[in-house]
Amino acid sequence: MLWLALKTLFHEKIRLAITLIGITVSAVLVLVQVAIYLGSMGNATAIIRHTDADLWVTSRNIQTFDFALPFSEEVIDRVRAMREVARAGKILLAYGNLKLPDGGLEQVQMIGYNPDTGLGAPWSMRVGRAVDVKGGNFMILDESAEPRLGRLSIGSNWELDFANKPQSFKLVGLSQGIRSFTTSPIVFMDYNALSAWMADVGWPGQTAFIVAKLRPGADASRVAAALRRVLPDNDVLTREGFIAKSVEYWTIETGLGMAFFLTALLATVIGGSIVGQTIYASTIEHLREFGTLKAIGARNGEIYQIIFSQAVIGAIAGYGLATAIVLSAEGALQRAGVPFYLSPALFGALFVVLLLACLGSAYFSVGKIRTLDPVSVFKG
Amino acid sequence: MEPALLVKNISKVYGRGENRVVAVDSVTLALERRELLLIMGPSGSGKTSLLSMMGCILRPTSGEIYIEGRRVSALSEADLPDVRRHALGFVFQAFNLFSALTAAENIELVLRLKRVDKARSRAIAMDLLARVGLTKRAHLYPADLSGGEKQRTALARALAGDPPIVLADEPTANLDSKTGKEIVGLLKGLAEESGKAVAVVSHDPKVEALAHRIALLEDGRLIA
Ligand SMILES: Nc1ncnc2c1ncn2[C@@H]1O[C@H](COP(=O)(O)OP(=O)(O)OP(=O)(O)O)[C@@H](O)[C@H]1O
Ligand SMILES: [Mg+2]
Repeated sequence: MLWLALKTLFHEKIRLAITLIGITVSAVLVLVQVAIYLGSMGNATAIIRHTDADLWVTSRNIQTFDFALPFSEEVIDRVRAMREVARAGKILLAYGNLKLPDGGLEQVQMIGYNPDTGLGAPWSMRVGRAVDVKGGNFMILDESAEPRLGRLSIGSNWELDFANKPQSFKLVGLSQGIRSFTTSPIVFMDYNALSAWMADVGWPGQTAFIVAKLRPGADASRVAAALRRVLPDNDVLTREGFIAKSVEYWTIETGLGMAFFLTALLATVIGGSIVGQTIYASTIEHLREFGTLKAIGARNGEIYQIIFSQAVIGAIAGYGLATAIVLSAEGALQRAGVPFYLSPALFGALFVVLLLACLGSAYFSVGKIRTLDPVSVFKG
Repeated sequence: MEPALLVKNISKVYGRGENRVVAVDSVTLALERRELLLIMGPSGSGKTSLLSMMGCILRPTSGEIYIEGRRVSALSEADLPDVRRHALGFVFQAFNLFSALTAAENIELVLRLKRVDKARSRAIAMDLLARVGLTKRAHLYPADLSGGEKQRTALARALAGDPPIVLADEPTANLDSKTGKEIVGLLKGLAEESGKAVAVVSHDPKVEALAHRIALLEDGRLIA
């Protein structure tokens, strides 16, 4: 009966075109929304995910990585005192302004890391090495910031302002694909350089994160609970807990996730109803033919098959087109700085969602067939 | 030998109370092989209801239906599609062809429904179209066929799978006189040459002239 479904679909070319455009547009919308959402969340958690640590100690009531407040560096001693902690390190985070060649200012996220251990270091380098920032006012920028900051030539000097105490930094390397959620460019620098600068502006001996790597076999959540008792003025999060917390903050607290979700949901519903609507119209138009099928001995199930195959064919064709469109636009979107994350699993999952929407709305037509009286086929 | 189709004392009652209509009233009728039976009667006399029950499409309110000796009126709803699929061919007043399928494909569809494989379906469809003189029109869609060609296609479709019984309701009503005559001729040929049991509902004098036997209905009762 798949054969009849295909024949009927392709016989009505205009209807087929409208259906395909409808599903394709809706599938593109869903894919783009979800890819941007996942891309944004990927950026929001990139440093947590790429730092080799099991536990994160932060300021009290932290909401997300980007909003860390400074606290005393001495906390690291109590972290190191835990038997299960193999090693611990510090990462600094502060916001400054980068003076652009044209005189403008751009807010940047400054991350101070230990170039010897590499904790908090950029993980994907285009030019230079992470260790190059060691021992002075050296910085690494991400190549993706070039459209905003202007030409990023290695060896160029840039003025960075932090709490009205500007300093000059030399660009020694370029990272690749490392972006913050807030889209502020990230400036990677030596922990000691940023720490000294903070002391200079009135925050001596402060850090933003203490990260710990546990000994093999240690249970991260148990150690986190123990540390919480020792550090009542800090939050202690497991790596997964911190990722979840950051995602939850951007998704729920800001309403951003809801906005993405609603758009994606709406697009799914619209795509599904376009399919449902065209299948319904086609079913009504072919009601006499379906009645004839019943009269000559087709079972209801066989007729439902025709209707559901039309929905499946529509979903596959529309989604296929949408996939092609999204994949061909992916590169351009990435270059334009749009956070975008796609994976085969994502394509698969969203296809299932769209397919269910199409099948669900095709179901409305099934009722028409069930109650169709085959005697009606004798009418003139 | 038992008749191809036998209805025994069947009645059909629609509605209840005020709206109660006895469409068919205690009709007993046999349809033999090699016979073209004409069912006639005024409008509303119950012809379509009777034919629908003979075709196992409509369940009688009471009475029995036998197809080749098998009591099909006792079968469950779920078993009736199989009876229709294998024992019966239908021809309709409005042709009821599938608009998205060519003439040949319309016939193939029925064969596919009967689980005949693709290649054989194609060959049988072309054979049947040849029998109704439509070999050259096989690849055309219904929209491009004339009324007579559509009904000839429908006739060929009714024969797909070689059912012993063919039922037709007003097969010439939508056709001009000359084409109607051709269709009636083909129906008669089915009975006489192919040995089918053919029942036709019609008030077309052309059918009357060629029918072997006439059943006359009035107010649901068989009066002749
Ligand atoms: N589904 C139904 N519900 C109620 N009454 C019906 C139904 N189908 C038919 N009837 C009634 O049953 C009677 C017989 O109808 P039927 O269609 O069998 O007659 P017919 O001889 O085929 O008429 P026509 O020549 O107009 O086609 C009519 O009075 C009709 O109104
Ligand atoms: Mg009638």
